[in-house]
Amino acid sequence: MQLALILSVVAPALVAAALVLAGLRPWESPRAEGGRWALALAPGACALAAYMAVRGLPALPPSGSSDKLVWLTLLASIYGAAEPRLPSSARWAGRVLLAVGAPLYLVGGTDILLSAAVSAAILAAWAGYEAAAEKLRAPAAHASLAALGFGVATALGTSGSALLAQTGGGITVAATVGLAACAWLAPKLVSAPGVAAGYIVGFGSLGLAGLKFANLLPVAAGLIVVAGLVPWLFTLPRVRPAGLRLVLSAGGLAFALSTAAIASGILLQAPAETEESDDYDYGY
Amino acid sequence: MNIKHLAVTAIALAGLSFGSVASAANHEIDPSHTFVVFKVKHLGIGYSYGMFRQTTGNIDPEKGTLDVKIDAKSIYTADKKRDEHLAGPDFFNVKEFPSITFKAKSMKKKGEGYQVSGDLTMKGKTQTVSFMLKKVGEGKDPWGNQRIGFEGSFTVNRMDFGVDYMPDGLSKQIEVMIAVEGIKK
Repeated sequence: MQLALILSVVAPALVAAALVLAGLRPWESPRAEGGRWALALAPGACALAAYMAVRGLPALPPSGSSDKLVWLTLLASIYGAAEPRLPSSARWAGRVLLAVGAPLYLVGGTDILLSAAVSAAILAAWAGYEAAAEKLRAPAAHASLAALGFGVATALGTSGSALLAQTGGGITVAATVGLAACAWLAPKLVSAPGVAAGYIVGFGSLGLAGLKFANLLPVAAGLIVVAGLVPWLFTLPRVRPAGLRLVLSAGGLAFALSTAAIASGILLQAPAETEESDDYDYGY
Repeated sequence: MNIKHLAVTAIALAGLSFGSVASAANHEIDPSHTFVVFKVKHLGIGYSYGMFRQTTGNIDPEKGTLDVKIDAKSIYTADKKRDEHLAGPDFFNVKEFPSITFKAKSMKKKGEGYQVSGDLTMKGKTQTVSFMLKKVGEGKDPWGNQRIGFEGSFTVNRMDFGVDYMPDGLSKQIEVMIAVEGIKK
């Protein structure tokens, strides 16, 4: 079983690395332009790889929320890869469709208010990320995604679902590998239209699944939403740090908020006193 | 045979008929005296047991009906954290699929019990399950209720129902043991 756990991290890392290499083609000289499609596909492909490492191929048609959120993340990633080719009106229609449709499909219309709140958060985070990406260098924008993913995966780990945490971890690996790729291979690569799609829809779906079907605390989910909106800070005219300070600010703030989500999840869920064994090891 | 003997015979036959009618009636399952216990192999090393503590339904052997509804949230394995994990998205996902149901399609008298075949639905998936339901006993309780009791067991493959987390850590085949008491309506 420990092998499955290791694979749930290694498999998405390998998938992300393969995608990045295929997209950026660093061996070519001069270095190929583009490769955004690889960064866009990474979150969905990595979520699928992490899920398959633990549980095999998700059912199609999906039989439950765990299957649905993997396919939703993949669908959003495919949309993100294709989005640059779409006219701007179609792009926004596509985003709204994903942002509204994903939560509704995930919870089957049983909690309209919560679905609407998640939809609004997805759209706001998506727009914020892209607005920040236009002003910041690509690694900084991707750093906020990686930090957000770390917070989501760890907070889900306190929700009682190892599977949701591992799926979130897979998407986080995609963001981290993408960050490394942008910083090292293609620093001029702008994480423009489409790249954020799989990440934002994936994290939003995971958060909703954690709230609705696992024991993710509402306050932890709220902090994660705030962390997702951090990139908006860097679109404000007065906030224009430059260079390294920029990277540290964006990534650091998102990370700080994400760790607050983790801390609140752990603190609020820890029993004050228990007679029960602390030895439960999730079967490993 | 004189009239006295005929009368005694008629009364005896009437008593037997009454007895068979009593066991043929519709019985409501008594949740307090109904147990659904399961057994799973852990890491290939030993067996772990668990149960569902809330079961409701009806049983009518004469009509061949057995409808059971198990509250999936009532899963219990003597470890709170494990119970929460089992109830979560990794296993039974009880918030999305709160009930496990069984509906008999046929219930045929066989020896001391009944050969039952029906649809077991868990996590939105349905599979046909067949098992022998042995009659344990029948009679009145101290409060005057007519009761009937059965027990049976069968094996299911949890992968068929999407309860497929940890395919290497926990056995795919799960043995399920049931003990049912019904109160005549």
